[in-house]
Amino acid sequence: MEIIDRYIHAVIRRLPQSQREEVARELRATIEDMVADRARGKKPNRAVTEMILKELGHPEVLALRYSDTSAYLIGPKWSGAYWRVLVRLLSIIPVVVAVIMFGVGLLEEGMTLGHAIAKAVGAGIGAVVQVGFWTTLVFALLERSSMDPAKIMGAEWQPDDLPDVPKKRQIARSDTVANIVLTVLAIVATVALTLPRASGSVQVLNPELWNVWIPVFLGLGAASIGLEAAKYRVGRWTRGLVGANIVFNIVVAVYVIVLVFTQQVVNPVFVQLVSPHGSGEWVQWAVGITAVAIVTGSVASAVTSVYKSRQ
Amino acid sequence: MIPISEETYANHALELRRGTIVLAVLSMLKEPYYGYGLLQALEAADVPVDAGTLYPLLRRLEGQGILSSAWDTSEARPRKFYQLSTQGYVFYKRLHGEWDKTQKKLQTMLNKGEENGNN
Repeated sequence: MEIIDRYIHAVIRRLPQSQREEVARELRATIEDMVADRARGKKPNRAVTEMILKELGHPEVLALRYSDTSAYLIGPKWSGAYWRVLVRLLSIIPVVVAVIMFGVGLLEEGMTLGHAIAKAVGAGIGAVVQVGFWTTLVFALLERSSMDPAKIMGAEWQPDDLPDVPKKRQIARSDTVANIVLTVLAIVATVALTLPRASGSVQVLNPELWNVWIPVFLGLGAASIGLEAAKYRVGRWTRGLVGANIVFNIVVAVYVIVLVFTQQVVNPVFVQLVSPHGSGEWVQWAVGITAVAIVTGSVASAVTSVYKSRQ
Repeated sequence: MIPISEETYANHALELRRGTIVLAVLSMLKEPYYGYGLLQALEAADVPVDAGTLYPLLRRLEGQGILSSAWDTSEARPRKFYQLSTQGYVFYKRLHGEWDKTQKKLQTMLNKGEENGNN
C-alpha cells in the first residue's frame, strides 16, 4: 500500500545509507505482518494500516531509535562539563567585550555617551550569542565522538577544589568591584571627552584642563583604586582605613570645589556649539550640580565609613 | 502537601518495567522468532513491548553480537528471523544470573520493610 511506502521512506531517509535497505525490508515485512493480523483475513484496508502506523509512532522518532547516534544534542556524559564551561564563559566574555566596545565607542569620531552605550550593549549581546552557539556546537560534536570527558576536562573534581565560603565581610566584594569599575569608567570617559582630536570634532571638556587638572584627576582615580584594593584586603573598616577614606574624600571634595570655582570646566567652544544664541548658563548649572553631587557623595562616604567602623 | 500524581506513578512503574525488557526478549529467543511473531509472543506472555521499541531493540542486540539473524524467503512474505547467537546465549545466562541476584536482594529488603513498616 502506498501509505506504507511513504512511512518506510520517512523512516529510512534519516538513517545512514548502509542501514537503509535492511531496515526498509524488515520494517515492510513487519508492517505487512501486523496489518494482515489485524485485518483478520479480511482485505487489509487503509484504516487498519493507518492504525498500525500510528502504533509504530512518528517515523523520525522510530528512525532515531534505529540509529546509533545519540538522541540527545548533549547527553548526560557531557552535560555537566557543558554547563560549567558555558556559565564560566558567559560570565566573562560578554562583559569584557561590552566594556571594550564602550571604550571604543567613546573614542570614536562623533561619539556620544548614548552611542557608546548602544555599541557596548550590542556587542555584549552579540558576544552572548556567539559564545552560546560555539560552545554548544563543540559539545554536540564531543557528544558524538568517542572521547572521554575525564581526559578532556582534566582530573575528576576533588573536594579540595571547592572554593572557600566567603566570609561575611563588612566591605562587600561587590562594592569593591563596583567602585573600581565606576572609577575606571570615569577615567576613560574623562580622557575621551578631553583628548585633543585631529578631525575637529569638539571636545566636551576644556582642553586646557590637561595642563594640571586632568593629571591630578587621574592621580585621584589611581588613589581611589588603591584605596579600594586596601579596603578589600582588610575587609572591614579599621581606623587606618577610615582615616585614609576621610582624607581621600576631603581631597576629592576640595579638588572639585576649587576646580569648579576657578576653572572653565567645559570647553568654551563646546558651549558655543551647544547654545549658540544663549549665554550657555545652563552648562554652568549642570557643572555646578554635578560638583555638588560629587562633594555630597564624598562627605557621605566619609561619614558612613566612620559609622560602619563603630558598629 | 501536593498529592502524588498518577503520571508520577506511571513514570516510575514504566522505569521499573523498562529494565526488564531486554531480559524478557532474550529469554524468548532461544528459538528463532521474526519481529511480529515475537511481539505477539510477548503479548501472550503478558509482557507486552511497544512495536516501536521492540524492532530497533532487536537490531541493536544484533549489532552488539547478542543475536544473530537470517532472512527466510521460503514463504510468500520474506521474514527476518532473530535468535540468540552462541555467545549471545552465554550472555543471556549471565544476565539472567544478574537478575536473580538483584531480585533476591530486593525481595529480602522488601520483606524486611514490610515487617518493620507493618504495612
